[in-house]
Amino acid sequence: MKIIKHSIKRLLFFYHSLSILKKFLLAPLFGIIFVFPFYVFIFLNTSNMKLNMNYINSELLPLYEISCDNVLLLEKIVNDINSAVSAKEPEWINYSDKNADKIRENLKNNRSKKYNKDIKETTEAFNEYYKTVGDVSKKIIENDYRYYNIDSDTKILVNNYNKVDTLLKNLKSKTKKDIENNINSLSDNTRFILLNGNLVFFIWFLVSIVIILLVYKDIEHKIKRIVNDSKDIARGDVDFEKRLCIVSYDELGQIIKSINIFINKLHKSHKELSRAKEKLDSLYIIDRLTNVYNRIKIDEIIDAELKKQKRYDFVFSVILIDIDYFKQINDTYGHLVGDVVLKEFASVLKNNIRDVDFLGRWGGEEFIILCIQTDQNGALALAEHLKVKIEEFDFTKVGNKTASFGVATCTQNDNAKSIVENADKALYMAKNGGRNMVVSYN
Amino acid sequence: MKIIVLLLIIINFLNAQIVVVTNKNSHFKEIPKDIIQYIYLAKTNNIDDIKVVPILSSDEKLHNEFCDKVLCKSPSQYNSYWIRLVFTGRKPIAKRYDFNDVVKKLNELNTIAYINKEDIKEEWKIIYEDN
Repeated sequence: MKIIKHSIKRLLFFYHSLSILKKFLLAPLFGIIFVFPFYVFIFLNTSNMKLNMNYINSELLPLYEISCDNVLLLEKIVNDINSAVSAKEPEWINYSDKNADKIRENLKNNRSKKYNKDIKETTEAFNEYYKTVGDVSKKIIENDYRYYNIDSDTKILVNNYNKVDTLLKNLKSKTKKDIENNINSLSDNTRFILLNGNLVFFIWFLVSIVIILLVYKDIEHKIKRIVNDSKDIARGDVDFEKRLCIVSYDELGQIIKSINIFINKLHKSHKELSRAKEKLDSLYIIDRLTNVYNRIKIDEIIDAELKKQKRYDFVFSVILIDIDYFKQINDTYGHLVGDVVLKEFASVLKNNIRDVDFLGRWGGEEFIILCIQTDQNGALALAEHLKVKIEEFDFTKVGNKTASFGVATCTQNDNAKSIVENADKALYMAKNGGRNMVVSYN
Repeated sequence: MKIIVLLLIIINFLNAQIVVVTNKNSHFKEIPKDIIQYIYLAKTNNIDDIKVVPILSSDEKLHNEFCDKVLCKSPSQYNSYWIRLVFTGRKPIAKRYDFNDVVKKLNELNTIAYINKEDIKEEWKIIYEDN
């Protein structure tokens, strides 16, 4: 059972690997395989017929001819000797010798092994008859139809004649029957071959049609599958998870394989590109040094929030922050230390703002915080909190530092430029007011 | 004188009359001429479904007369006829018997023979008389 299953699997695999042309060629091939034994059988039949023909021509017909000849010759002999006896001419009896020899020769020339026995029997009977007829006829002539044993002699003669006559006529009818039978069987054979030839053709035709239909259905099904799969892939968003189903290992399978490999490559490349895009995006909007948003992003957010404010009447605030006496750090400790301080400053801010706030680097030592859905009080509170945190922090090498905060809240009349300007004015006031303080624009 | 000669001739003729006889106890009575012919020419074997055996006489004069008068054939015609039967494989030629053997043969029932009328015996009956 297992072996059968295994062989079937192998056969199916072999079938699926055939090229499409070869698949269609299977039809006449199978036709031939089914029909081949019939052809062998028919061929054997025709050889048989040929043998039959030979037999008839070389053996039977000649035999029939000589047996007809013999029957006539016997009749001739009988008539001749009869006349000889009636006319009392013993010499005439010898004239029949020629015919008798002809009969014997005819029988000897038989070429058919099948009739050897009959021929032998006939020859013996004829020889006996011919001897008897010669002797008895001469006796009758000499004794003028009257002698003592005439009854027994003529009885023997009658028997012998009947025997030979029957044998010769049997030979004739037997060969005739034989010929008839052979010719009938020839005609039967021909009819058989014709009928079966038609049957053979019909079977071949049917088998071919069936196999072509099967192969066609198979290929149709496969192509449908490919069509559906490809429609699936083409539909909707780009989804690199989908592939075409491998339907076979022929030309269609080759196409599918190539397409799938191509999708694989695309997928890989797409992944790389996506990563690169992400990286680029982030590079684009993130300040490299401090790792917070840069101006480009902050501008974007401000625009978005303004739109929201106009439409939904949301409120948002802006806090501008400037590190106090930053130039001194650069001059005193160098730019490298200054960069470190900036980084740390940014991280302190980052750690202390809320999730909804956006922190960005606005300038060299300026930072900006966008407070979404926050009013003035909220922003002020946040700024105060941040101010304290900055005061408390111990910066690398430079120790404690402070910052000035300018807060502005967006109103109906503000645009992108004005809101930041307001925050900037507030910051200016904070700077002028002595630094390390929070001023709100009013 | 003439009358005596005439009478003698008539008597001669009377004496030469042929009859066909059979045993008194045979199962048939008179048979017509053509049936006799059939039997002696082997055209039939039976009279009224009884098998009949014809006997031939070796007396040449009697036989020839019988052929002539009863069978209506000349002797050579009779011989040719029978030879033909032999050569065509139908019947053998029958033996001919002298008078004593004929007498013996007639003891068997249903055998017929031809004789001169004067030779007729008690045990036989005439079944055909030639007129």
